[in-house]
Amino acid sequence: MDVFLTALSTIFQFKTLIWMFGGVAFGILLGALPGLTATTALILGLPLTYSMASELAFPFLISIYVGGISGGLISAILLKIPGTPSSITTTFDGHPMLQNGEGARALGFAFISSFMGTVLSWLCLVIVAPKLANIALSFGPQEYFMVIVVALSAVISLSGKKPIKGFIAAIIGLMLSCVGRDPVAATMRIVDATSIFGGGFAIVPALVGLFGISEILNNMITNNYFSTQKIKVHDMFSIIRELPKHTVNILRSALIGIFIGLIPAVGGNVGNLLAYDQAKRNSKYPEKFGTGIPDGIIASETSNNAVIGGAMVPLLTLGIPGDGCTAIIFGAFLIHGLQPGPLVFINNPTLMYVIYLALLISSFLMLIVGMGGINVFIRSLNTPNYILFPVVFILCVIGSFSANNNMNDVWTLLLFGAIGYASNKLEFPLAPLILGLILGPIAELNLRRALMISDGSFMTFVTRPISFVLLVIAIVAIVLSIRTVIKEVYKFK
Amino acid sequence: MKKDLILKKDLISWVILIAFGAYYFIKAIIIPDSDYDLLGPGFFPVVLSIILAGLILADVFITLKLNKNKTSFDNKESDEIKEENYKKNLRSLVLSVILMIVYVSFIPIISFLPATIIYLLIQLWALSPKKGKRKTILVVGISVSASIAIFYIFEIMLKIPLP
Repeated sequence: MDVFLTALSTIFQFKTLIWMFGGVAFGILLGALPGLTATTALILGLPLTYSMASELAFPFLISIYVGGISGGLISAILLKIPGTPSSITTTFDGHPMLQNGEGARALGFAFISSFMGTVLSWLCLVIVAPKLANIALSFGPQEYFMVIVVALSAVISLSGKKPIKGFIAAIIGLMLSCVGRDPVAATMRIVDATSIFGGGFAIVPALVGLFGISEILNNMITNNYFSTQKIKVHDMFSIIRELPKHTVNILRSALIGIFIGLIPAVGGNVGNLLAYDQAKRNSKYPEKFGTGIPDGIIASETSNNAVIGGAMVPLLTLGIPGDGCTAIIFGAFLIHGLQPGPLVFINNPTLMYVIYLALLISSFLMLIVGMGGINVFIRSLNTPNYILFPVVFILCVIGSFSANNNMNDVWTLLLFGAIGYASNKLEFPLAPLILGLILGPIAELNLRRALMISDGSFMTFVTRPISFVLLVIAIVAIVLSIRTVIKEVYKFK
Repeated sequence: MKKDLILKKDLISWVILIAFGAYYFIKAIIIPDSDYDLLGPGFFPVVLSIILAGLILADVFITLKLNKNKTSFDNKESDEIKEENYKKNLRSLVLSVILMIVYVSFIPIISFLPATIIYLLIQLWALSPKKGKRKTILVVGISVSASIAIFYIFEIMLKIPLP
């Protein structure tokens, strides 16, 4: 109880609330701009936290996360361009509602659904995370290694039509994670100690490069100008009375979002498609979907925000980031000298409560800032790309350098920017690469520890029950991927 | 045409992956053993290189098989359009990449603020669609004000060291 009260007094400090307010506004602003995602917003917000205490840094980052995921709805409804990939289905009914003269109602439904999605997923986080963390505390190196194998195999099997590309990306990520000093014996690997990458690849610049630089390169050279209209804030609130009849849709979409969030690397972009599809299938009037009805917006926006709480569960309990956003938050943990995982619940329980509370408060702030400041965000949509993206690049350079005050990290940023850009162009998914890069050292360390304990016997992974179950899950996921490939290859024979 | 594009992309990925994998493998097998544990520091990198080699072979086999069978790869019409736009923008893209590299190289030499102002001046000038006096005012104004604002916020306000 004392811990909770300490967390409560920390989060309700004026300074924290102001930073969270700014974080939500910044997140919404960047999420609304087509081409910039919640991940970019987090990348740009991260360097601001370097000099903060962790009890201020994490609320700020979480508020950016919530704002960034929600902001995509603005351009989805007003411009028919999803600001972030997780708002794709919001365009289906949001923009037609705008064309039917119901723009304010569409935005109202979208913001309130985003709020509901976040709050419901927050409930899941608060209930599930401590229980899962308790289980994870009993894990030995065998189980940890197997959890990582499961996460990687899930990512690979969910890598779209070509799981083999996902597999290759994961292996490349793991290979890159081995560069530098070996985690057990400190032996130099792959590069010389004197080379620019002799210290290995720092996680933050690598992540910023993979996500940020390829987005910058893709968007900097394209021109944008949008014509938008003013929205009456009062009209957005008028929809509150209509909400009760959408309860089932909200609950179903939130559950889909939470479930999708729990699975590594699937994320909001899949969550909103699935929820929209389910809302349509279960509707009494499926033919009206796409013509401008609130049901579609509710499904899309509830589910993409519900992913947030879901994705935070594996990050906080197992130290496994599920998507780009949680990968950046993972980086923030490392910068603040913390290893995300079950031990944080024991060693720093106040921070855990602060994170819980921050997610809940951010959802309220998102509602207030998003709906109250809608016309400011609309005006910002016309910032030209050729001005915006070079500035974003400079902020990426600062973010990479300032984490360790090391210029080599800026070169890591550029190298991983090139890798990210090439991966996009050559159709290799980024999520498995990132997961491989982040989890590689943890996987190797636990594998080697497990084999030290077992005197080199690999049977240790089979004889321990949890490890064995996880091994079976990983094998099933990989077999399913291989089956997909074989079906694809022999489909046309 | 569609198939050619796909094959070109695949060929490029295979060449990059094989070159990377071969370099990595050569470097991995010369990692010295250690007395700390049974597997040693070289085990993980060597195993990963071997898995990568197997996956590249599988990818080559699958891609060739799928192309031969005229597969579902054919839904790539939008990719062709993207490819055309990409070629149109190639000059701006190459210039931007060169500018990024030059900018990062010059930061330690002339320090952050001057390097940033010069980078933004050239980058915005190259990308701005505007013409004449308005362009000059816009580019100079934004480059100088954005650089000073970033410097002030990070270095002075937040006390975060800049490169």
